[in-house]
Amino acid sequence: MSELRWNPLLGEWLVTATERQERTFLPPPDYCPLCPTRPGGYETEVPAETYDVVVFENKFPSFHRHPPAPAIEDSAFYPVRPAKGVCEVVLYSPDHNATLAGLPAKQFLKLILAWTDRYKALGDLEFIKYVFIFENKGKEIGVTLTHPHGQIYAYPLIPPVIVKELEQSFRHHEATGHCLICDIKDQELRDGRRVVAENECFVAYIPFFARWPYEVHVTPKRHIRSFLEFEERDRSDLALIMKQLLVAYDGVFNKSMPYMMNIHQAPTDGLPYDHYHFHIEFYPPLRQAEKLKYLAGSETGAGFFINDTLAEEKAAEVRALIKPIVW
Amino acid sequence: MTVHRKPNETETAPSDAQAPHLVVEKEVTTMADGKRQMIFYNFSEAKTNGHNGHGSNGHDRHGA
Repeated sequence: MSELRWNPLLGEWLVTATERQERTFLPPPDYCPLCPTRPGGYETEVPAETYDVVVFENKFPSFHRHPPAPAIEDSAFYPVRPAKGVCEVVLYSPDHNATLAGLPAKQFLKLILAWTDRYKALGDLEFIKYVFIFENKGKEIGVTLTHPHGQIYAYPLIPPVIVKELEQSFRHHEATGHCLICDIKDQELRDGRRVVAENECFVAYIPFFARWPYEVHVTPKRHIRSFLEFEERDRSDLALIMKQLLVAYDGVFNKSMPYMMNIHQAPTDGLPYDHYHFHIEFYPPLRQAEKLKYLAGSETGAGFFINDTLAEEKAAEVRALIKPIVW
Repeated sequence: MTVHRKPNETETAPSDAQAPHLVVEKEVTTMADGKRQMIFYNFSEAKTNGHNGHGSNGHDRHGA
């Protein structure tokens, strides 16, 4: 069963998705459902031997285009809603052992074009208010399938973290007339100590307020709200800086770096959101090669993050690993 | 702790000269279960006139 339940204590919705208990969990490589179907082999999700990027609806979705009726009755105190939305899987490569970091910069560009198309198509659906593009990479994050892939959740409402960013951005704009994320980006560029990489259109930095040791935000220098406002140069520079960052990440501990990649864009509910600004947030969970930064009591129970590191030192570490990228 | 960034230390080489101009071919199908949608994106490189910076019309996605 799948439904939205209102949390009156925090003032936010959560979704139940009981069928996800049955989803495939770390299958052996020979039985990866995300690999292409091989001649004479078992039938996977992908009936093609090769492709550049493929996107399909998740077999075990948290949100459904045609959601089932909620398992419990709605009430004024505990509102319940159908979990109407769309969950998609984005395959980065037919190669089971590839990682995004190891793919050529051109593949990043292809991915950005596919993401743009999905943001537009899903955002155009009347019942979709927010299109969230993300990747969970690595067993440390809890991925159940290791084939290189990301996901898209098209929500019927604006999710809580984005609501908070929008509120802060709105308040800052009301008070100063400026975009908050433009001001953060300008402050990081002026200071420079936390900048990791930079090109004409984008800057990557560990923000002053980082919660994770290697958290990096990738922000366009122009005031852009979503992929729909990208020009060709924006796309190519984003592809280059993402590739630089992910290669550098893999150099930090000399192993494939696990991370959560979260693309924050304007909602798709029809309002303008002129005060908001596209950016990508990367959260690697490692604080040392074999030590995870756990979200324990303070972080999870109180929402008060404890960062065991200084952003300035970690930025210098990642910056030293940035290398030029060629097409 | 003093970890100052050197000017241009993180700059990439100029990227616009070699940036590929991609044209997408999109194929929308229905998956084997007859319910779910699947989209294949395959790209080819188009020849450019060498200009791909800001000032383009912003509508260069060629159907993507």
